[in-house]
Amino acid sequence: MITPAERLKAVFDQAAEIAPPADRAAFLDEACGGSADLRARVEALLRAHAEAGSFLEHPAADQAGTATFEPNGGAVETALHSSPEPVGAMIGPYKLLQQIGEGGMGTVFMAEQTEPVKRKVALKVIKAGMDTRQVIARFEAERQALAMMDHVNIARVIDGGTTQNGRPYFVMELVHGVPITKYCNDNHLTPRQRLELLVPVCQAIQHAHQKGIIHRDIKPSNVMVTLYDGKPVPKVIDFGIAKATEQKLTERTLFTQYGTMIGTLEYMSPEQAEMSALGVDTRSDIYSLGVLLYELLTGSTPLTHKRIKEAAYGEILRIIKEEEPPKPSTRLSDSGEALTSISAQRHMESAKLSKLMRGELDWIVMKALDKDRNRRYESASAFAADVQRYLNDEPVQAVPPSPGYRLRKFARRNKRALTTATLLAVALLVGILGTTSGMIRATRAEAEAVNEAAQKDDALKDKEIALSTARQSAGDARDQLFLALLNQARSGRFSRQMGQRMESLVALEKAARIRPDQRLADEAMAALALPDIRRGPTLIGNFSGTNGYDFDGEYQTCARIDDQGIIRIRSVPENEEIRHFPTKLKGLASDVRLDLSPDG
Amino acid sequence: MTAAASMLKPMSEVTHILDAVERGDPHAAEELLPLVYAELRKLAAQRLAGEQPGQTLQATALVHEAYVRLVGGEQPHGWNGRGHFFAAAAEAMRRILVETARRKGRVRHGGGRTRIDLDQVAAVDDDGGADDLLVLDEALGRLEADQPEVAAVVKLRYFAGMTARQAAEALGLSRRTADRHWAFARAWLFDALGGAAGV
Repeated sequence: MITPAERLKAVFDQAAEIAPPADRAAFLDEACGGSADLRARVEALLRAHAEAGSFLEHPAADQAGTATFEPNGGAVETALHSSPEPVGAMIGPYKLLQQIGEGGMGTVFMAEQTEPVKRKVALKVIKAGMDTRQVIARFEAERQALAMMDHVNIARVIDGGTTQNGRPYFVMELVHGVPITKYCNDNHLTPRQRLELLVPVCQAIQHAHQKGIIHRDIKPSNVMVTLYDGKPVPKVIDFGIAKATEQKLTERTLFTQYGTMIGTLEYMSPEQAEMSALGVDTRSDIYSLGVLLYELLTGSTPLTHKRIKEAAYGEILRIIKEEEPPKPSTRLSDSGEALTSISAQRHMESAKLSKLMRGELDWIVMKALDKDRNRRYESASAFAADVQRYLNDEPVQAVPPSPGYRLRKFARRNKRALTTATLLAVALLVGILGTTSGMIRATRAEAEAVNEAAQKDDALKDKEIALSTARQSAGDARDQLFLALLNQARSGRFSRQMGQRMESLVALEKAARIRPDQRLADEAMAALALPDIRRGPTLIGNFSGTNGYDFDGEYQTCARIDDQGIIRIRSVPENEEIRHFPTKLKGLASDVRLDLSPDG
Repeated sequence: MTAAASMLKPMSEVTHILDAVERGDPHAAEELLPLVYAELRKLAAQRLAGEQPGQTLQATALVHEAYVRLVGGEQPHGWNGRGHFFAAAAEAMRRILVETARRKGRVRHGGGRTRIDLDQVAAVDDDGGADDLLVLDEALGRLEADQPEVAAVVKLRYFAGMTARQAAEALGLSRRTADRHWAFARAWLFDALGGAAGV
C-alpha cells in the first residue's frame, strides 16, 4: 500500500528528471491520471525545485551569524562566513570591504579602489553558470558607449573583468540608496511626488538611449534613490549588465532559471518575452518604465508577484505578451482591503486616490504599457514630457481616443475580416467557371483563408504598415470581388449549362450591390436574352402510366388523376397531398388532360 | 571491549548502545541521542571558548570529532552502527541550533533577563536567520511525519553539514536515492516556506 505522500514523491522524482517541458507535461498527464490535486501539488514542487537556488545548500551551522552556541548559559557568538568571494579579498585592483546585496544574478560588494584613485565602488560578481568569456566580450563591446554616459541620475559603470575564480564582475559607482519603490513607500510620498521622482529616471534612460544603450532590466532594485542635500535623487544602476549577461530566453532557460527570473519577469516587455529573435529596442525600456510607474502608483506590478508564483511558466509569457493589464484605477478599486494601506502610503484617502488615477494617469500608464511598441511613447523623454504635462495640468499626449484613433482601432480589429475578403476574392477568381462546385471551393477557401489570415495576423508585427495595407487591400478586395462577380456572370452566360441565365443574374445582382456599373446592365440584358431552365422542386410519387397531370405556373402544386379517377392536388415542395376529389372518370384517366387553374 | 573503551566511560556507553542497535534493539537509538547531544555541546563550547573570534566552526567537523571521541577511530562498527550515530548527531545538531534560535527569539521579544539597550535590539533584529531556522524546523517536522527517510537526509546534510555521499552512506542509501530525497526535500521545504529565501 503506497501512501499519498509516497506517491507524490515517486511522481516528483521521475518528473524532476525529465527536462523537456512537453515530455514532462506528458508524463504528468499520465502519472497523475485524473487526480488534479496530485498534479497541482507536483507542479508546485517542481516550481519550487526550479526556484530553490542554493536553498539549504549551505549547512545551518556554517552560515554567517546563525551558528551560535551557548554552552553552560554563557553567550558565545561568532560570525561565520562561507562566501565564495571572502571579504578582504582582492579582485583586480579592488579590495572587497563588505557584501551589500545579493540578487538572482550575483553578489554585490562594497569595494575599495586604490589605483588610479582611491574611492569606494560597488562591485558585482556574477554567479557561476554563465559563459564568462561571452559575458566579458559583450561587456567590452558596449564599454565605450557605457563610458560615454554622463548623467547625474545614472550610476557610472567603471570597469569589468574576470575574478580569479573565473567569474565575470562589474564595477560601478557606489550608490548608497534604497529601491525607488521602497523609498516612496517608506516616506509616504504622494502620487504627485512619485511622478516627480520618475521624471528624472525617464530622462536618465533617455540619455542612455541617445548613447545607444538599452538598459533591458529596469526594475525598482535597479533604480535607487539616494539623498543629496536632503533631496531625493534617483540613480539608475546596472547599465550594460543585462546586455552583457543576457541569455537567450528559451523554454529551457526559463524553466531552469525561473527562480532567478522572479523580480525580473514583472518588468519584462512583451517583446522580451518573445522567444523568437525579435529585436529588443529602446521601447522595451519604455515598457519597463511603465511597469515601474504602475507599481509606484498602485503598489503592485501589472502582472503581480502572486500571479507569477501561481501560473505555469509558459503561461506567464503568454500573459506578458497577450493579456491587457487592468488600468491602474481598476487595480486600485479591485485591491479591496489593501487599498487602505496603499492609500495611506500615498498620503491620500482611498476614494480620492482611485479618482485621481482615473483618466489621465490611467492613459499615461497604459500608453507606456501598450503591447504594441509602436503605440507606446516613442521615447523616454516623450514619456517624461507627458508626465510633466500632467504635473503642470496641461493636456497630456496620451489622450482618450479621438475619432481617428477609434478608426485605427476598428481597422486593426477588422484586419482579419478585411484580409479574408481579399483572399476570398482571389478564391473567386480562381473558381470562376461559374459552377456551383466553384462556389463550394470558394467557401472552403474562405475557411482556409480565415485560418491563414489568423496566422498572418499573429505574425504581423509592424502594425502601422499593416494598417495602411489593410485599408488599401480593403478597397482592392472590393474591386476584385466586383470584377470576379462580373466575370462569373459573363462566363456563366457562356457556359451553355442549365442555370446559365439565373446564376449570371444572381452574380450581377451581388456585383451591383458593390457598385452600379454600365457593364452590369449590359451583361444583365445579354443574360436575359438567353433561354434558360431552372431545376424546380422535385416531385416525388408514382407516375406510372400516362395519366393526365398539370402544374401551376410556379411548379408549387401539381394536379394528377389516378387510375381510380380521383384527382389529387399535391404541394410539390412539401410532397404532401393538399386535397383530392373523386370524378367519374375511373378507367379513363390516361385519356384525361388536366388543366390546373392558378387558384388550385 | 577494547582497553581504550574501558578507560572512557562515554565511549564504552556509546559503543555498547551501537552494538545494541546493530543487534536490532529498537530502544537503543533513543539512548544514543542524549549522549551525542551532550558531547556535541561540550565540543562546540570548547572550540568557541578557546579560539580566536571569527574562527570557522563547521558542523561536520564537530560531528566527526564527536564520533572519534565517543566511538573511537578504529571503526569497530559496521555502516549500520555508524549510520545510527550520525543520524543521532544530526538530530542533536538540529536541536542545538533550534534551541539557540529560540533563545534569540526570546531575547528579541523582550523576555530576556537583563535590560537590553536599543543598539542591541537593532543588532539582533538585523539577523532574521533565527526566525527562519525555527520556521524551517517546524516545516521539517511535518515532512518527517510523512517521509522520515527524506527528512533524515535533510538533517544530515543541513544540520550535520554532511556531503551528499556521507549522508547516503550514513543512511545506507544509494547515492541516487539520497540525491532524489534531497531534491524532493529542498523543493518541499522551499514550497512550504512560501519560497522564502534566507535560510
